[in-house]
Amino acid sequence: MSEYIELKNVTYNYPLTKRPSLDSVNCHFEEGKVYGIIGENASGKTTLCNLVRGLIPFFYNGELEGEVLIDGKDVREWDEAELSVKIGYVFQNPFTQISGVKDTVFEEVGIGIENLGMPKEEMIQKIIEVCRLLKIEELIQKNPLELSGGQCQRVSFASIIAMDSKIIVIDEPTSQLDPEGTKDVFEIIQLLKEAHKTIILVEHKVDLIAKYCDEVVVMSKGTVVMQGSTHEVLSSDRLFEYGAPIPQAAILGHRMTEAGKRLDRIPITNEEAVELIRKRGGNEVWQSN
Amino acid sequence: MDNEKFIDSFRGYQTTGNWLMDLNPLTKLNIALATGFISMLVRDWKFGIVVCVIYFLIAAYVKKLKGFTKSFMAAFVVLGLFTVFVRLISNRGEGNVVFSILGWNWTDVALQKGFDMAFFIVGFAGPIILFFLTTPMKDLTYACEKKGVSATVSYVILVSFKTITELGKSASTILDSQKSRGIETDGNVFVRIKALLPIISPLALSAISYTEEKTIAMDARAFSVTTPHTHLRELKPSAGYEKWLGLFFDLLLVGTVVIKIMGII
Ligand SMILES: Nc1ncnc2c1ncn2[C@@H]1O[C@H](COP(=O)(O)OP(=O)(O)OP(=O)(O)O)[C@@H](O)[C@H]1O
Ligand SMILES: [Mg+2]
Repeated sequence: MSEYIELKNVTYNYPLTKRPSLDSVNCHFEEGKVYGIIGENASGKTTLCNLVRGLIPFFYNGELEGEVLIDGKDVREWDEAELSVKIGYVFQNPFTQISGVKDTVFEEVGIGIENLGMPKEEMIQKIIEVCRLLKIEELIQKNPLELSGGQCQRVSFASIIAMDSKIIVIDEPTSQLDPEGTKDVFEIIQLLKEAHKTIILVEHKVDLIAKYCDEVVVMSKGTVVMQGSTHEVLSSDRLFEYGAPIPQAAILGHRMTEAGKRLDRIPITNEEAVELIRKRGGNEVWQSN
Repeated sequence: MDNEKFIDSFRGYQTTGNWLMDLNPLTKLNIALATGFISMLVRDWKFGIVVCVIYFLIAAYVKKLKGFTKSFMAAFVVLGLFTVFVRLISNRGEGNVVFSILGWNWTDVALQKGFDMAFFIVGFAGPIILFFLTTPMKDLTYACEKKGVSATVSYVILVSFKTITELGKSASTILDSQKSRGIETDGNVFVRIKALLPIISPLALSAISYTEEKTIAMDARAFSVTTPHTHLRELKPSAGYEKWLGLFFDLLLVGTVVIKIMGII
């Protein structure tokens, strides 16, 4: 089955709230693709993650209407524990994702697979493998409570990746990190992509979405207003209307169109913009300076 | 330690090399509680001194003498001497006067009762202090998990202990920064409380949102999975004689209770 997760007309209210945080949401996520979710603040991105991850309805009560199908089965019929293993979750705050009970990074990375009951030797091999993959070998003897934000975030990815979830939901993993930490996180996302994981990524840094995602979902005021291929969505001028972040290159493209200097298409990455401008302007644009 | 060796350390059992330290945490707890109750039941300062000497010898044997002395003395001074004092004040009538201060006559009976009481307290506190000095919390929860306590319960216990110490640390960090901004934080209790008040609410608030996020994060680490969990860090399964050792102390306790009931002590 290629239709992995499907939301049909989903409306959701957190307990004791009047306005729904998700309002008639329709969207779908297929196996092995990387999805970027963008939208203004409070548009419901985290709520959508909570839903896909099964935290709604298992952790947050509230009113859930419509259908949430995961592998064709409604989320309400899934076993909570099974879902927590099938779908990994990494989020914003690097420090709250550290268990706080393990003395070394090595043990911290193993916490999930311990709970899965993996035999010890297999567990050791798995941790070594994941630490090597995520380049945290030099940290394994460190106390997890003494790591920097970027290191913490890599360690939380490692404990999730060790569990081998098919789908990984990642909610603003870099919003508390510096540029170097951000780069490391996206290296990890690239690795997950190469391992054919299904990734659902909420991220404000839209230039990175443009670079790494196959499809983009745009949310506004609690509903999904656009879903499509990354290029199609990010080059659309409707993003302005929804208050969603827009790539620098696309803004440039739109401005050029307004100024009557239309490019072949609206670029979404800087490289693409350079290429299109080069094509359009001929050589004089570049030779004049 | 290089990484190879460090990783290898997980392949075997976690030991300290000291048989007393390496006893199963639950056996240790059993012995500590039994000993504590016995010295409470006996409640005699002479017996108290003897067991306390033994506690110190054990502390020295497991190389925890410094830590033990610190905690033991704190318990002795704060709880023990305080009760001696209370006894002295309340028992001024009976017995022969030993000495008098400010018109109070302190008698030998009062002194003896006071010391009995003091050793009653440290006689119990001693083995408990020894237990916690020789048993990391994670070893105790590990042993409990092996007895069927769920990983979630043991996680909550462990993380609560850690959180309390971490909150203490962040409180002192904030106090320090307040101090450097010229806010008075030292001095009498009221000055301290006044300095602490404004930081308590943000700390409490951050602790709440911290709990929710932590729950979500740990749920993502398969804590709700109910298949038997495995452990990267394993303790030695308890040796056969450990059961007898625990039983021996339990019997001693029962014996003491019987003697006590019969009125021999
Ligand atoms: N636990 C909760 N209880 C009640 N209401 C909530 C809860 N979490 C979020 N909301 C509300 O749901 C709406 C959507 O919030 P959500 O966190 O999903 O937005 P978001 O798109 O992730 O925003 P941001 O970009 O700031 O992370 C908001 O109006 C918010 O106030
Ligand atoms: Mg959010």
